[in-house]
Amino acid sequence: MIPSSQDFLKMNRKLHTPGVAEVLARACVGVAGLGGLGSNAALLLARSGVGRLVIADFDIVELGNLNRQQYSLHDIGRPKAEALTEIIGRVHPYVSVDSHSTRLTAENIPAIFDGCDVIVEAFDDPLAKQMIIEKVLADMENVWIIAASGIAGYGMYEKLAVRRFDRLILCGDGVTEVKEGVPLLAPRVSLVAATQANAVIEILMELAGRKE
Amino acid sequence: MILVNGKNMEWKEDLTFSEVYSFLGYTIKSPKVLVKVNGEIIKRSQRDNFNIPDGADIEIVNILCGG
Repeated sequence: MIPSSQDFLKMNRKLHTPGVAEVLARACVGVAGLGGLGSNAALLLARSGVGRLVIADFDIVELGNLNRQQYSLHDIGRPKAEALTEIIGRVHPYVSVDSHSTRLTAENIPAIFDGCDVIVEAFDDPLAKQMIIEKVLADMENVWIIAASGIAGYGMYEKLAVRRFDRLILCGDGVTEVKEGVPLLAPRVSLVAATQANAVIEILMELAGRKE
Repeated sequence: MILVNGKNMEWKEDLTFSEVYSFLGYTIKSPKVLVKVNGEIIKRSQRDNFNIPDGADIEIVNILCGG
């Protein structure tokens, strides 16, 4: 028998303590881009009990995604947003997932992520990263954006950092670019995705503390 | 003199953001996701025609590909 939504909430209150569990259950988090960063961060946030996730990616799962993204063989050819919704549902069926198989633009971002407290920037393309960060900081008052830069390679733990600028939190080392011998590999990409999810929770707890 | 990410840089007439990026060692190619001058965000579209004043306190955040 599948546990009820009340069972999940009760369990999360027990595991995460009531103060944390309730803040996360009320939160809405956006994930822009569902590749190595986004698919991992979204699943971590679902496991943490975030009540509502808005996930968006225009792309389709390919063989070359399986080295670092949450998808499986049978997802190949499916839209990432659809596949990830199913994966989240298998872990935590009561997370409300608002799934968009759409290309995100400066025009549609405010409407798609309406109601989100925090957005995880998980794009691949640096121009797209620039676009969403600028959009959120300039035009989406009170929304935080947790971005990633410098995630390629292996090792270099000591370089991974978290830096804050206004409502932007930047995770990653900020310098390591993808090149020959420095590929995107699951461990380091996941480390940064987890750092982003960790920063999301930190901000949600901070915002909740301010309201009290 | 201006302050760029906490470092002193010589100011001159018609100083461009490209010159400021080079000063930081950033390539022109990699987008600068956040440029702030004296606390104010300068959007990407506004940067080409922006007059950087002497004494400005500039903060620049660079971003790399990969996700």
